[in-house]
Amino acid sequence: MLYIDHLTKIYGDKKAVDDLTLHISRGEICGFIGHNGAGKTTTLKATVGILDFDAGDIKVGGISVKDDPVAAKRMIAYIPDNPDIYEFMTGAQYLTFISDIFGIREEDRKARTEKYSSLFELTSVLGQPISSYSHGMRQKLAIISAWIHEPKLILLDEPFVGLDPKASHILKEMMREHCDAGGAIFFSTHVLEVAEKLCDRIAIIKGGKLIRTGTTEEIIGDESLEAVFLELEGE
Amino acid sequence: MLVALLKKQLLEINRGFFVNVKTGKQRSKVSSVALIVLYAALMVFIIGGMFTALAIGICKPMTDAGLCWLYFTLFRLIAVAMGVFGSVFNTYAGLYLAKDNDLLLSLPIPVHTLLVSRLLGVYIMGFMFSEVVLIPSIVVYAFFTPFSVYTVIGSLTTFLTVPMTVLVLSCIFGWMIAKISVKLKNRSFITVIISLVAFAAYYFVYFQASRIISSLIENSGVISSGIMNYAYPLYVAGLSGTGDIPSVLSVVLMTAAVCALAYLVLSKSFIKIATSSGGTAKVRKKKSEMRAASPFATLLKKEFRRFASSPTYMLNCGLGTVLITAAAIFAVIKGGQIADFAVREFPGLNILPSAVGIAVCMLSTMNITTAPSVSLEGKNIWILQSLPVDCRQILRAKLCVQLIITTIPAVFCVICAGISMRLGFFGTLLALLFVLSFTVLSACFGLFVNLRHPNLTWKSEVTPIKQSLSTFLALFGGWLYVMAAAVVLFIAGTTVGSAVGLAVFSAVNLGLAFALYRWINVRGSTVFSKL
Repeated sequence: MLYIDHLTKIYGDKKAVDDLTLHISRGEICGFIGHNGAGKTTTLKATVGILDFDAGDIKVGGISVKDDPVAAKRMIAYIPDNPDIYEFMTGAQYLTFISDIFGIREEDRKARTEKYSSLFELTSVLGQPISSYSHGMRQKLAIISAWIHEPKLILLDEPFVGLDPKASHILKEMMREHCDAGGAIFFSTHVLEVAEKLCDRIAIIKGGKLIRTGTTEEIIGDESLEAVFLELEGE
Repeated sequence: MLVALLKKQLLEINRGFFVNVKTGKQRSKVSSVALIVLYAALMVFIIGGMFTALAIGICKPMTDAGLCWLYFTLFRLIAVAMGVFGSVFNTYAGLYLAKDNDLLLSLPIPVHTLLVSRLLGVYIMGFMFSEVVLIPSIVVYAFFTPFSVYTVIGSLTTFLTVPMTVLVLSCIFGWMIAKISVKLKNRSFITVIISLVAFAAYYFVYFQASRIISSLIENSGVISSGIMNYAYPLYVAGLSGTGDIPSVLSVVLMTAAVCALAYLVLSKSFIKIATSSGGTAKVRKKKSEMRAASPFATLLKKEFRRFASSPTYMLNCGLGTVLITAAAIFAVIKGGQIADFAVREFPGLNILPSAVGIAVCMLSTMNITTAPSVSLEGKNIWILQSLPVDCRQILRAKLCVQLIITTIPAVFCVICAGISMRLGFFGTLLALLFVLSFTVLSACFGLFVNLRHPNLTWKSEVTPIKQSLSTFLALFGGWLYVMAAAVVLFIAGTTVGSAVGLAVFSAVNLGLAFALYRWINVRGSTVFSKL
């Protein structure tokens, strides 16, 4: 589903991402782990096509993000670490905006809006302007907007920040269901316990280089992910 | 404690003098001093000078007529209006919407100290704006009347009580704004309408000032008897300015009583006000909001929503729509007279189609929605960049907003002018062609400069709308271009003919617009995708 081949991104004289290669298959949840400034967000942004890169290639469902960005983006949903959403819209208007862009049929958008907004207990505030939403509510709205068009690949940057325990639990279930239905998820996180329990695959990045990747079992072996991560960080 | 709070309050009010709001960086000492001096000069020489002139104009006739109290009543009213106008929004923000309420309430500060510090901040603002009216009136009065202890007492009473009245009224109006703004649905449009009415009123008073002054002097007898019969407190307030002791005592006591009452009410309700969320009224999701539309239609809708959501954006980048519509009405009423004037003054020259075209184009330069449109994406730009839409469509939607809000009133205005000024079918058509071609050029130019000079890191939307290079270039570039066109079209009118001039200039407009549009489609869309 996602093929990142020899991705390199340079800011000035600093390599933010250095020759990173990573493949994620259908049905896989891949956790992306690394310290602050390791290159996680840069990789995610390059994958979604909002950040140009210097070398390598990224393919989503066989389509190159560089050659045909619009076609690639049709298969992707992205939620940034800080969901800055149009404050001049209401929640419902924003979901309609996203649905229109992806050409979602009216019946489908209504059914999905109903389903996800009631899951996240957001139904009663969808008519309110987003400017009145808390951080957590914006995060929930961003999640609904990602799921509303049933993308094949979902990219999430620190998705659990700002979510209450119930919403976090629902999101984890939704991620699992999405992948069980044939989709793929690539998400960055600092919560190693969540990554360990939720992910099928783990990728650890340090200083822009991918230092370890594999299935969760391969990565942690008999240890905990925290122990492995700290060990790798210390090297 | 109160001093520390007051210091913080003053620092907050005057932050603009010491910190660059755009960059968030500390200003240099020289630049801070220069700004303070400039501000003081504006207040003292421009505004103070204006009221000194007014005081000189009416003081002598009124004192000669024995209506000194009317002189003070008038200046009291102006000072109160000026003070309330200058401080009411500060009161609203400082008293009812203060962002640090939670922080301060969590500290061991007595509520009354917090309230007093907030009120002192409001008082200082009101004092500044009202005294810029009162001091000139007091000085001019002292100049035209013989010195006495009563004059000093009266002046001091006026000097001290008016800011207190301003404080109370600001608190009441600030509270009303806070209440209304929570209930209102179309806040932005109402703000725009109120601002336009205020602008119109300002310019009306400005242009009619001398007539109003002479009318005041001529009818001072009728006005004074009217006030004495129907608004006695105003008479007493004015009389206190002359030093009439019973009036002075009444005004001081009344002011003190009203202030005490206002403080009592505020101190009872302050905690509730300070801890209220200030949220918006509950709005149910409308079914129509989920209706499907094409990607381009939804992008266009989004651009219009952005435009309509911000009074700053509408007033600064869409004023042309109002002005062109007003010009259309003016053309209907005065078009015939203007046409007669043109025929009389410029015999043999058919300059009216060009004049109409130039006038409408000049007004349309006030519509520059494209100029800050890219910058206004700000932190939200990731949304459009991550969506599966061609960047050319996004930019086209931005262009369409300016085209729609300008062409509709412009076509209406040119047709109105064409009929009332008897331009004929061909003349109207040429004027229309010129206006429409300029509208397209202007929209493309605004978007072009913003793509060349985007600013996505702003903290307040005022920065891209009012303080950016792209809006500056779009506005002044538009003016210069239209002025140049006026000169060329006038010369063309005297040589090859107005019709040829308009046709050629329209072709030039379209040629330039096409070049810019091509740049936007080819280079501009790439620039946007990489911002």
